[in-house]
Amino acid sequence: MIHYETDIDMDLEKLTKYVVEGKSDDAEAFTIEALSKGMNPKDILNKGLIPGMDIVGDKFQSREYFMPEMLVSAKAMKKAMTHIKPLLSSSDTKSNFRVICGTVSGDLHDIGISLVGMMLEGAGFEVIYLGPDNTADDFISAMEEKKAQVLCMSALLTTTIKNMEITIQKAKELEVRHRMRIYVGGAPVTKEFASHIGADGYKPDAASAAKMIKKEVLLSAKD
Amino acid sequence: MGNRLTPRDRVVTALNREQPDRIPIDCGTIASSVSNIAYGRLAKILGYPRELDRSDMNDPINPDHDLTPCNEILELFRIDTRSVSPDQPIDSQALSRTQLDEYTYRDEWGVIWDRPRNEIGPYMYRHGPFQVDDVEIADVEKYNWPDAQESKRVAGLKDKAQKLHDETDYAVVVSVGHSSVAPCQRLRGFAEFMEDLILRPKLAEALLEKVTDVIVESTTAILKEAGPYVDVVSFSDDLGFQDRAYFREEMFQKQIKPFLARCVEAIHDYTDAKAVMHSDGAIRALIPDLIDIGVDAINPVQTTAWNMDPSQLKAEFGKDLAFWGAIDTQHALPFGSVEDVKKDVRKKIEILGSGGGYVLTSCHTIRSEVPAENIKAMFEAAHEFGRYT
Repeated sequence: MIHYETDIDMDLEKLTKYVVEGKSDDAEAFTIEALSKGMNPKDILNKGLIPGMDIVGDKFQSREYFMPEMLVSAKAMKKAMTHIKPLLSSSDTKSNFRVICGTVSGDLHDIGISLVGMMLEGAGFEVIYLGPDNTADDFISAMEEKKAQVLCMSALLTTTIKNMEITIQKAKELEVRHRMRIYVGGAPVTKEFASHIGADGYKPDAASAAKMIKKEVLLSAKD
Repeated sequence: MGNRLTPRDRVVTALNREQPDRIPIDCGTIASSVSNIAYGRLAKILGYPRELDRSDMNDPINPDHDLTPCNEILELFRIDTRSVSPDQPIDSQALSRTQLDEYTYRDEWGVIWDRPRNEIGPYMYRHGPFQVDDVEIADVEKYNWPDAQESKRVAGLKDKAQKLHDETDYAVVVSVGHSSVAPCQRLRGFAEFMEDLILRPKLAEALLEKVTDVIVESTTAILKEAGPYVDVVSFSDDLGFQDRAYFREEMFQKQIKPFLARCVEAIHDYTDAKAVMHSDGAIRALIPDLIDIGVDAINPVQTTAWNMDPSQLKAEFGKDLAFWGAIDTQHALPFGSVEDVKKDVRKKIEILGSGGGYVLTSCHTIRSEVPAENIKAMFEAAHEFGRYT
């Protein structure tokens, strides 16, 4: 059992602020120093970094932040995480929740889904990013192989959103649908479409999507 | 206004935000072409089966791409615009390309594009030459940029433009390609360029500067030839997502706008034609700045994006800006009924066309799944509801 110091004179609110302001170097330096003083990496994550990304998510949702600010904040978190991640056990994080993200077959527009993935990582989930152009089989075998609980599919083209339904149908056929929560998004997707194809959820923008997924997945874990 | 106008006068009158005889209609010039797959079905129901044998209809390495309908179909729908293009323009949509394999090509800027492997779909940019961590300003400075001065760029343009101008009464539209942002995103990477604007502003500026230099030179070369004969000059960029603009207004004004201003200035310097800017997405907050730099009309008017309600756009900007596009390609055209399409056309005409200031066409290119009946309904409804008198 590793012993962590509990009485360290380092204000985690500072780290939160570095993430919010997108100060990568400061976030990294703070993290290295905190670890060297014996701070619990779980506290650095849950009390420093994640609250930072929560604020960033709120600012993005309210359109105070735009894409550049969001990316720079996510970068700061990521840089700090490179030092923390190797020290965390799976019970320390939400990483026992694995999320698969990707765009559907025929669609190469992956900016939106990357953003959702980034925000879920910011919330402490383990995100496995499949990139663009995934068939139903690609998604489902990745879900099985990685033992993931959540699938996020995205499409920008009106020509490709049908592949979301195909994936959900395939999951039903293979009798694995009940093991996964499936979320869909992207420009042409609507709430009606999402419910028509039997998805578990949809939101029109990345920040509210990440918030919904976080809330619902954590709630379902308590059931 | 009881007199019937020529198509050219109709378009120009509308772009001057005055009321023509009817709503002018575009197809095939500004982000309003048709996927070859949808076009095949359209040509069939309209009785032009020989269009299915067009060489650009059946290109195995380009299985899903946009094309302009034949002149007979444009005439059938009484389309008011015609496009003219140089043989080989500088364009980051990569009209000039080196095919690397069945799925991949490199454009002349050095950007790699690929298309989906799993099913037929359009190409998308994948990787740029500056998409590496250790890129320096010096790399940007010494890069082998496309040569806008090459005479082949504008070969044939002047004659084609003059012929359309002298021998037809259509509104002649020429595209000068992209303005500054989209090429930078492709060259540097979408996320990387966004981050640079905050973390490496000097690098972003150097890239914008170089890209804009090429665009200004190319625009100048095109318009020196075609300027006197065209009515509309279009250019494209990419400034918005579905739910917001790419940048905060202040960031846009400080770091992006000066470069776009140079692109638009190069247009107005060499022609009296109207400058129409294409950018998808939720760009409402940026519109005052676009008007300020000399944009006469915006396309595609993505009213399905956040805060892009057509009534509000018309009320807020209609005095200074015309609108080109707006027929819903995200819901009505691909997934709606003929009635849904007609309803959307009627609504957009009533709102955006009030007092002039509107050229009607699809809000972006018509994709492969759009039913031919809906395309036909769009143009028919434009005539049915588009008369001012």
